[in-house]
Amino acid sequence: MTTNWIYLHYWLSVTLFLVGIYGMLIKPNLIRKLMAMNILQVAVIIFFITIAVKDQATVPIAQSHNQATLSSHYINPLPHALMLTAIVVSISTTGVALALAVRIHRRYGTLEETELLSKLRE
Amino acid sequence: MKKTAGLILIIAAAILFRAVDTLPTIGDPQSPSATHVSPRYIENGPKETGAANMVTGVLADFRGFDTLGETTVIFTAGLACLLLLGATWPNRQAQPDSMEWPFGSAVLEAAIRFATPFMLLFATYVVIHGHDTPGGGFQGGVLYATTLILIKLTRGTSIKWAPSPQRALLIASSGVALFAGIGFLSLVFGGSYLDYGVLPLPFPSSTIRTIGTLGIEIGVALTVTGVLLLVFEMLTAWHEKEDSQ
Repeated sequence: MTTNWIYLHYWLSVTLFLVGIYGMLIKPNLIRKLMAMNILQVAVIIFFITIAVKDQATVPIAQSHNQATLSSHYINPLPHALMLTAIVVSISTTGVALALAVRIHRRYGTLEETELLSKLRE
Repeated sequence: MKKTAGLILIIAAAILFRAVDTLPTIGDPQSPSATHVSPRYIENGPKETGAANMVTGVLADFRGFDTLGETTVIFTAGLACLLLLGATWPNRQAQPDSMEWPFGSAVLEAAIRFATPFMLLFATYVVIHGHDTPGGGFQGGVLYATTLILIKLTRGTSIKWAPSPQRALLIASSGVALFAGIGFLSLVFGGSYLDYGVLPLPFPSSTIRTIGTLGIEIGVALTVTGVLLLVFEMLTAWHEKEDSQ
């Protein structure tokens, strides 16, 4: 049981990931799909930040410029740098997706997938 | 259709929950992610890049190409929004008067007038001080953009000096140009692309790298500000001409 407790953050991010996939696959409304996509992105970000953690280490900001630093004193900065860009990219994808949704709504007057499909068949 | 989706979901859940047990323990200093390239970044990063904040050092120096690509992605997203929603520039004069005071409150405006200078100052601090404290171009750019969007939400279109979509696009383009230009500048002085340590400035090499990093961070901040403003403008722009059925 204790081994499972250690993996709590992984469980959390896997659960969020599945919530995201569920929303994107099953919800019929395009805006809801978009929100599910954002949840999925947050799951990936939590996963990476979890990987960066080290026991007994602090934030990756060196205490002094010219002193040698030990890698065991600081947590891994690489996932943080990667996720920094990932957050901004997720904003951009959300922006483009919202723009597409606006276009779809202007053209067909609805964002419900079933109504859209029936209007496309006409 | 729903059954297929449910089946996919169950299979994905089974695989993912099974895989969790094989992952390294959280906080393990000997885990694969903490043992290959990251000790190099931590031990030599602050000395070589002159940036005490290792995240900034990794982002703007060691992985400068990655960040350039990322900036281009954001810029492309802004352009995509523009092409999707604003093939013709929205006409400012054509907007209805009701947009002038969307929330219609003098209290709100007074509060914004008080807060705006501090927000802009903090955004500038976050960009410029990203070397030594948490911060950097992406965060600072988002702060600039949120400040400007907040003003737009409060004042509507009655505010004349706020960036127009054209101006926002110009800001975004100049950010990408600054980033790529620093890369080309280091080519001119005989280094590799984005190896800005070779720039002929009268400083020690780590200071030159700090200046180069700062230039890149400012470029990123400009791009993020411009693109977020552009996306906001496009999503809220008033169009008289609706798409015909």
